[in-house]
Amino acid sequence: MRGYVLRRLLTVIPTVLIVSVVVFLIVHLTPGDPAAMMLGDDATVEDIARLHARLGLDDPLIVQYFRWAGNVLRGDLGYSTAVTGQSVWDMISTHFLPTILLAVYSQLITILLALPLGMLAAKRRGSLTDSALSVFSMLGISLPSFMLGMGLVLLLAVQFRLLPATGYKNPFTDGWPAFFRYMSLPAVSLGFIHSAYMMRMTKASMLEVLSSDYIKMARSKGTPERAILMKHAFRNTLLTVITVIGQGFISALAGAAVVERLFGIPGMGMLMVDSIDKRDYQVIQGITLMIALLNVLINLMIDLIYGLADPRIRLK
Amino acid sequence: MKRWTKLVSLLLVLCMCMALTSFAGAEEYADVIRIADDSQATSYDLHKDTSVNARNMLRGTVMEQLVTLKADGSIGMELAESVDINDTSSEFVFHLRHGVPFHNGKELTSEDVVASLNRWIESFSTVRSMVGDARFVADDTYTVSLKLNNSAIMLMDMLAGASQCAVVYPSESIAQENADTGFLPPEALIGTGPYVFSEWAVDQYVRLEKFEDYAPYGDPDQELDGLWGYKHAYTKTLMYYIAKDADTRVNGLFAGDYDFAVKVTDANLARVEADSDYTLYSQQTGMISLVWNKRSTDKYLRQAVQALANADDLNIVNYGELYDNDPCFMEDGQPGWYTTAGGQYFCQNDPEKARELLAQSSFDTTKPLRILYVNSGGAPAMVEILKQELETIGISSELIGQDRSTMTKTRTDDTAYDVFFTTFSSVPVPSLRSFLSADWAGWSEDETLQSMMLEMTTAATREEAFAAWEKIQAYCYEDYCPVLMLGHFHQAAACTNRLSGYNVFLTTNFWNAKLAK
Amino acid sequence: MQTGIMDKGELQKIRRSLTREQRRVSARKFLRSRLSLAGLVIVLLMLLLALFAPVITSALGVDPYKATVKDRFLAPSLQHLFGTDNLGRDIFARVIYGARISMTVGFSVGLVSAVIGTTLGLYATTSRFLDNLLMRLCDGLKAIPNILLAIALMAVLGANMRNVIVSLTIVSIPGVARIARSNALLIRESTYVEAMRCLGAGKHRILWRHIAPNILSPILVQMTFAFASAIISEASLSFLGAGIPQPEPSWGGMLNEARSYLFKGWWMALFPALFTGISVLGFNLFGDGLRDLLDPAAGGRAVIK
Repeated sequence: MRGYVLRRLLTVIPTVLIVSVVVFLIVHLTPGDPAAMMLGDDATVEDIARLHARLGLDDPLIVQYFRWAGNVLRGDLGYSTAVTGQSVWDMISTHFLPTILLAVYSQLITILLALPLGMLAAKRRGSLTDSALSVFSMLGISLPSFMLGMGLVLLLAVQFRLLPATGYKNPFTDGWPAFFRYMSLPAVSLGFIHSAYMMRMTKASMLEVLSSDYIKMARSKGTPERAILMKHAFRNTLLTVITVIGQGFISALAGAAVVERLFGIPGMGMLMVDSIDKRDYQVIQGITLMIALLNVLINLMIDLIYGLADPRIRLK
Repeated sequence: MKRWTKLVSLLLVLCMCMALTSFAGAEEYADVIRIADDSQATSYDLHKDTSVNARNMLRGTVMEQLVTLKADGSIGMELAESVDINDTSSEFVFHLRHGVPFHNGKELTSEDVVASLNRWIESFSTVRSMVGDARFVADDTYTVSLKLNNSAIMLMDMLAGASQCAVVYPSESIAQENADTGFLPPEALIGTGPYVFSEWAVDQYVRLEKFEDYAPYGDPDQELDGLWGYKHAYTKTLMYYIAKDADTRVNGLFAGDYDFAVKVTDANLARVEADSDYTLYSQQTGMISLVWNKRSTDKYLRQAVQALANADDLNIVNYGELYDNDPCFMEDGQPGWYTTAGGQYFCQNDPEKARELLAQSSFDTTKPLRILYVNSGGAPAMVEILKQELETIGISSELIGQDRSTMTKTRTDDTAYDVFFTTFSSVPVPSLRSFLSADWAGWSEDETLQSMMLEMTTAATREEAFAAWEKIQAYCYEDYCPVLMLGHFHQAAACTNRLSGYNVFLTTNFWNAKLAK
Repeated sequence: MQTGIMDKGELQKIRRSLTREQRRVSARKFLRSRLSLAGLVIVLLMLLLALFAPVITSALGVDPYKATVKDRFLAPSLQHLFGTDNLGRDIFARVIYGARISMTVGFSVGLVSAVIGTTLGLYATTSRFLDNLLMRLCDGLKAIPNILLAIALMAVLGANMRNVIVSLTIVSIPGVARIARSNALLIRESTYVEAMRCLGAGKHRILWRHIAPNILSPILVQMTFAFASAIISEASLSFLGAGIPQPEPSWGGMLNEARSYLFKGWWMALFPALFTGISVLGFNLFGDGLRDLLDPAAGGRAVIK
């Protein structure tokens, strides 16, 4: 087990190396100049050139890469040029919390919505409820998150003024009620597409389990249907659910950019898009590195939980 | 019995009305005004950051200048009590107000002014070329002076209204400049203004808190004159939330998240107008134009397009109602520089004349005209209309849409495009209109124009400078056409009716604003 | 001897008719499932729209590019079935032409990523070194959020349809490669391939003649989903300002444009949204049906966005 974890952690190194080189190249090949962005629209050509040189951007790419990589190894991710005076680390740590909270919240909604509905669909297979649910889940999968978000804002925030249209509240400083008021619409918009997906997966794996021999056995022993569903079938679908949650978490991190933009949430996705816009090289590099690491770690965790949840799977 | 109850209820209602009116008399105001701002500046260091957002938020609010702009474009004393200028406008002596504290408790002295304004000169190449090697020096604790070898009639305008603001920081702040980037860190953003830059939560908000020891100037009973006058700071806290999306700002205003929203776009105008709980206003904010690459086009082509263009059709698809066809290269908020010289040549919507002019041009109509623009916001729509207009006189176009950063780079490459779309925000003096400069994108290298520019910048009096400016604008319209001027865009802002006392000049200031509870 | 050959021919005939019968049964099963059928109909309709867009619009006398400023924001009417947009362009014509763009983007992304992904996946099974190299590369690419990678690529390459296709393709290759690889690994171990190897068939021959056809089904299913998600990704890219730029009438771009005019012309948003939703729905339903048909063992969708 420990050997497995170690080996898995070692494979992180090439992944991260590849990510860093790819991102560095993309970022530096992009036309545009961080110095020009720093000085604003009315800056003169001369002043921009002076700042450009001052930032070390005149050096050859390879020199810049190794300088950056060397600093990273020493734990220094560099400084932002789009928000001067902020270290990349500061930028990431302030933008990390909103995204993580949003991802967790949207996953919670996903699970609360998808699990019961998926089980219901499996239990009433072929019924009208099942058809209605599968149409619903199909629609869910086919609706881009920003379209759903726009609709929700217009209806609930603008028309009925039930919830705020935009903004973010930190639960630890502004309190959890404020957090839920502000983050519910974004979380639903982000989680909906995924809950449709999870519902399908739950249903599929539930059906598979329900048709297995040991459920038939339990049935023939006269175990109540409810107990079969909750005790036997559910526990076995958990595996699928864990995988889906993991994937959902990763895709929530990625999909957050759109939802964060729509709801004005200062998270990693928005920071990333803004940084690309403003050619904030070091921040882009820092964030992708972080997200890549996070990605790998989540995948590792899924595998580990998998191993714990199902003794048939051996980690080697 | 019945009558009795009626009488009682009538009395009750009367009492309630009286109670209500007496409450209304002692109006109460909120401690916080929440403003939805459209974007975040990169540094808020006003010496270097030329972004409109930084300037609008902090100039006069957190940091103050020696002098500032009045509504008619004239200059008012802010941190300076008075200024002595010699006849040739080459020697400037500023006498500072006494007893003005910074937010860090220190009193403002000549040392701070010298450190700040010399840094300002260093970081602003336009001023650098204007003053040469001369720098501010402290004559005594409350006097600073600047002595030049040449006359600089526009220096005072620069000090008062340049987009790189000549604000005064305490000298300790200047010492905190970041060695790599040259910008001040947020904690060094200290000034003498009525509000303190107290918290910047990146991508979320900036919080400005009232500075209790603020030393006001001017008459407390008078309204503000432009950016000049008595600042009461009625409200304890100003929160500037960053809401990049225009719909988001308006939705947030309606949902009660904000009290004030900047940059309300045309698409949202109708819905704000329809709601009587909100006030909407707009002002001329900058000019709309297409800047020609003078190295790849000749003046006949440029004149032809100017003769052809239908400004209304072009502007309406982007700005809706929020524009006007005023031909002046400066904004109407700057009466000192306002002129309509050459205005008869402004977008003439005359295809016949355009064809004649095009015939004189060496432009090869078998090749497309390369139009460069930022492919977000309203520019793509305008460019599309222009393309269709150009087709009517037989010019085909190649549309080069890029993101902002790329476009800012591409426009410095004279082989990459023929004309680019951009807007210009207000500048205090016409010499700062970048498209008139020989080394800014588009390269107005024309000798006639540059000699006229020199005449304006070195003029000894305001009148001479203005006369030179009228000549320049007329020449640009009639002959040289460095830009295709399309008019001015307006920026609309909306706020709840409970907000009063805000001051609108170039931007909206909240120094004397109150928000009824 | 004679009979032996006869038997072989007979056998082949029987086998052929059996496969035919099996196909017929599956096809009937597919057609009987109402949802799959609906998916098929939608997909066909969209493809027809895309193919005949110019014919349809010119028959109705509308032009997707022609702007008439005085006709801005006209509500849907007989003259403009879906109304006009902020430039006074006919939305019906633009939506129809949008089908062209969406189908082109979806199809190109689906096809190209399938071809490249399959190739990578197949060759990854041939050597441990290649496997490690390619899979780490895929891991690396997968570790960067898709949409952000696409935005960054768009910034480098410049905004146009070709580059949208390129960046979305790059982003969806790792998913296909993984599926191709895992399926190819299973088949490689089968006795059948073992036998071919013993017979001395070359590496490439085995890969392309014997393994590739057998992993076609999951790849095909994956392609339909890639198609659907390419349409959504394009819309999301446009929403973040990195999609196919104006004046091209892409649905995503139209939606993004319409977003600021929701209160002035809801029809600007409604119709592209409807078409996006319906076509994505169609491809998802079709893909589901296809999977039940070709690859009944696999549960759920292989890749998500």
